[in-house]
Amino acid sequence: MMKLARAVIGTNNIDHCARLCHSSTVVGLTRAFGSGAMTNSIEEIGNAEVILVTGSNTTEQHPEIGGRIIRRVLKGAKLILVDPRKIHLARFATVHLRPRPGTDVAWINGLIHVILEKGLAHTDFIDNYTENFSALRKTVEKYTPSLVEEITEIPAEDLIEAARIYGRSRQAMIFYAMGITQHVTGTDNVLSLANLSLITGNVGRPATGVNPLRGQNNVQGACDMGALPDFLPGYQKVEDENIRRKFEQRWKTGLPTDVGFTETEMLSENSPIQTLYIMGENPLLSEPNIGRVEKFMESLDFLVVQDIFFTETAKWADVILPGSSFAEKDGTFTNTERRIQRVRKVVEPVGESQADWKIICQLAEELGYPMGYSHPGQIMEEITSLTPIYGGVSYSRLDESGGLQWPCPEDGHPGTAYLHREGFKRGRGLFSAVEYEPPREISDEEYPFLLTTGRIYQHWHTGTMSRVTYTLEREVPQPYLEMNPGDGLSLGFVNGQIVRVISRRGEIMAKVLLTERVKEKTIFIPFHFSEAAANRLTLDSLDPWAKIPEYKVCAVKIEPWGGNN
Amino acid sequence: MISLSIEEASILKFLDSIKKNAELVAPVQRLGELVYQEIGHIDEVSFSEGNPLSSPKEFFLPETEELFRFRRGIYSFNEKTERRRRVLFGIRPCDLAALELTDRFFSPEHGGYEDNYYWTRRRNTILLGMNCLEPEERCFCLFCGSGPFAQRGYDIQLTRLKNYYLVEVGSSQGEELISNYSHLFSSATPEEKKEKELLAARAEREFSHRRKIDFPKVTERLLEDGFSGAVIENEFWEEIGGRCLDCGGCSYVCPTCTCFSIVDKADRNRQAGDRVRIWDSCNFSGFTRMASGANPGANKRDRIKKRFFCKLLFSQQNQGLLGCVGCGRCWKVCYGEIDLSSIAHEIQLK
Repeated sequence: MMKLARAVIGTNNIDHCARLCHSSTVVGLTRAFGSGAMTNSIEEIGNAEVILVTGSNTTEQHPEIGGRIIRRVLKGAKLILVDPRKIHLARFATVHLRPRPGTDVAWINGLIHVILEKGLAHTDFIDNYTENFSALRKTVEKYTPSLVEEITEIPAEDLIEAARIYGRSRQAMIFYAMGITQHVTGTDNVLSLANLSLITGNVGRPATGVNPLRGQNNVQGACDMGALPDFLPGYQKVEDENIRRKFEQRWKTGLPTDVGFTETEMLSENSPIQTLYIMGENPLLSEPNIGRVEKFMESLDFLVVQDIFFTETAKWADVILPGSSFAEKDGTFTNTERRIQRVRKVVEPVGESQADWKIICQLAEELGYPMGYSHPGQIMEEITSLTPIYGGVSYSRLDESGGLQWPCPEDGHPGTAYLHREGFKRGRGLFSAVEYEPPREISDEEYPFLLTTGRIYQHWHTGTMSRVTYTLEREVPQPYLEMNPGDGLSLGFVNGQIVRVISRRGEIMAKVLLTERVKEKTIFIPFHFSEAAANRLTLDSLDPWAKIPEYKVCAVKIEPWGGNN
Repeated sequence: MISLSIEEASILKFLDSIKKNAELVAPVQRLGELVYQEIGHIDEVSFSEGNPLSSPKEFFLPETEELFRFRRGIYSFNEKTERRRRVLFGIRPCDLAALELTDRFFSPEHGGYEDNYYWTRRRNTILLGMNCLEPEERCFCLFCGSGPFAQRGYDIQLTRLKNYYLVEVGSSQGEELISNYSHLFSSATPEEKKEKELLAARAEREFSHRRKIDFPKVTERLLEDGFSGAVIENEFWEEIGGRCLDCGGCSYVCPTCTCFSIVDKADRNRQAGDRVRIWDSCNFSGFTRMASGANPGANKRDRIKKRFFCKLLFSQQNQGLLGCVGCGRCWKVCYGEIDLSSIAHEIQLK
């Protein structure tokens, strides 16, 4: 797809769904460490002393990792959970901090403040492996536990307790997901977590690190393959002439030179884009402020959608290309711990559907650029020759090893379990002095509730697959909103009652689920349901660096639905 | 009981011959995992110790199964029963014991109903069992009375002795199968039978350093409790429920779990469709949710409690057999280290 965009069509306007989930990770961790991926490996959880989980409902969204965390905690590791919701992991937490949504920089700066004050910082590490420490120290000075309590609602003594636990350990792993990244301060949040790991030297060794949990089976792979407006495969900059020349020689064509648009920019109201090719994504449900995306779709001249089912987005398409599912194709997926693994065809594609790479090859040929692949293994050979971090990967090695973790620069290299072992990729670890900024939209008299959105165990993103899978759909067949019983009482709502949830951008109807999982004045709505799309309500304000939208905080009001009373 | 012996090389000849007249299913090594699979080439058959993570129940009660087809207006009930002859090779004693339980579950004699789909497959399958010389780390079949050597339930049972196998025939079907290839077999000597007994005793000794579970005592405790919480307090189930992540994996790999759900899958033109049954799990909240939304199994504590009562007590009351055969599969797949053997042990001590 990336090659089709750049070598055949000649545009850098290519992006993928990490724009909506972990683009702030890529920007933040690249700035701090020099590499934007999970620093450590899943297996190392078994040796962690302290595990800090924030903005990740790990047992529901990464159950393999959530299960390992539980098993490790049962064997004595300490768990610091920082999440506004009382998620399943809260049962196992040594300390559970429940910040007000959108106040992450404040509590992280608060933790660093306490760690410095208690003398728990790893000064040798700071002196030898990092830079810009004095700026950070100056910034965090004012983030006293009492100020942090005021901003975040986290009791000062709980913050101090968490700082003690994390600060004392030299084998502490941080895990995070979209509760950190999907904010206008997403990059700041990621930089702050990097600061926390650097201040205690908890990076560059086994069972440490800053570990973003990537959600899709292959979203790491899509990032690695340069489905990004500013990078060619392997995070090689499109603006670098030498890099471009290397690709141009191999591909025997010229390449566009300027950085392209991000997904959120392409789908915005003032977007200049007139033709769009969407593969395996469903922005009519997954983009924030869907009303805006609909307006954009109306203005679009030509839309191609390639997917395995008829999605909300496919309804707008001029041409639909039937792709095939994971079980119907050969290739590789790269998972959250940078592990490249083979996927093998076990059944033939259904009906007229085809493997995605085959569809793209046929299109390229029609456009006068035959790609000439007859098996995905040949595509991997080309990737290997052009992408240093994949340099030692081949299908035969993947078959033998059961997967390789990049960087794997040459044949015979065993792959890399954890990054920054011998110093940081960028040289020294960079501290960033980051100030707390409130979310773009906070609750007020007219819109008195904070809405935070997310996923649930039984459904997957826009439900393209899970909502047509009988058992999963039976488990959770209807949209709902989680509301604290105290709020239910004051508004006179009962469990199961259908209500209207209204933001400045849109309105949906959903059933009330009264639960202590959420705090008062905060509601949670899963975004899987097209009949009550949470993203009709969400805000499309973007992080200035990563252009990731603020899915996790906006203001709403809740009213009874007339028909129910 | 007929006892014979066969050389290792001849087993493959025997299986290869079988394959000409029936589908042969056997354990196969695939990408480092042992799985039951239909055999294409005879060399694929794995003789390694160990039991596939996925139990052989899928060959009697498939994960998804089309029951019949329906059309709009006129309902025609053409049962789609599968009548292929099949030989299942390498089935372990625990899974043979599980089949005894599922046989009863699907039989009217034990208060169940006669499930034609199950029985058509069951009657067309010949079971070639394999005794376990080296029980795996998480096995506890000895305490469940289901292994490591099988007492019954097989058509033909094999025990590996050095470079040949002792063959015991357990049914007329088994006898008939062997009679067609009698030139490959010879009568077992008393020494060979003795050798098998020694191996059985050795395999049983493997369990001597494992935590012993006294299932009759567990049953007593559960009867005393009577689901009331009098003996086994709510907190006990609460703690286990807290470790459950609702994945349903234990039910899917369990050789004795038989619960299924029914769904109608309409064709695209919505004029006709298939009625399909699919495996279900009592660990899922939707398993007991009613149309009104009321749900007696809304929380995990209650679901887990019900599950363990079903395995350890209710199946004895309903089918006359313990609902667990000690294969250890549920423990292997569980994210939360929920291990039936240690739970049973804790109940025993209450």
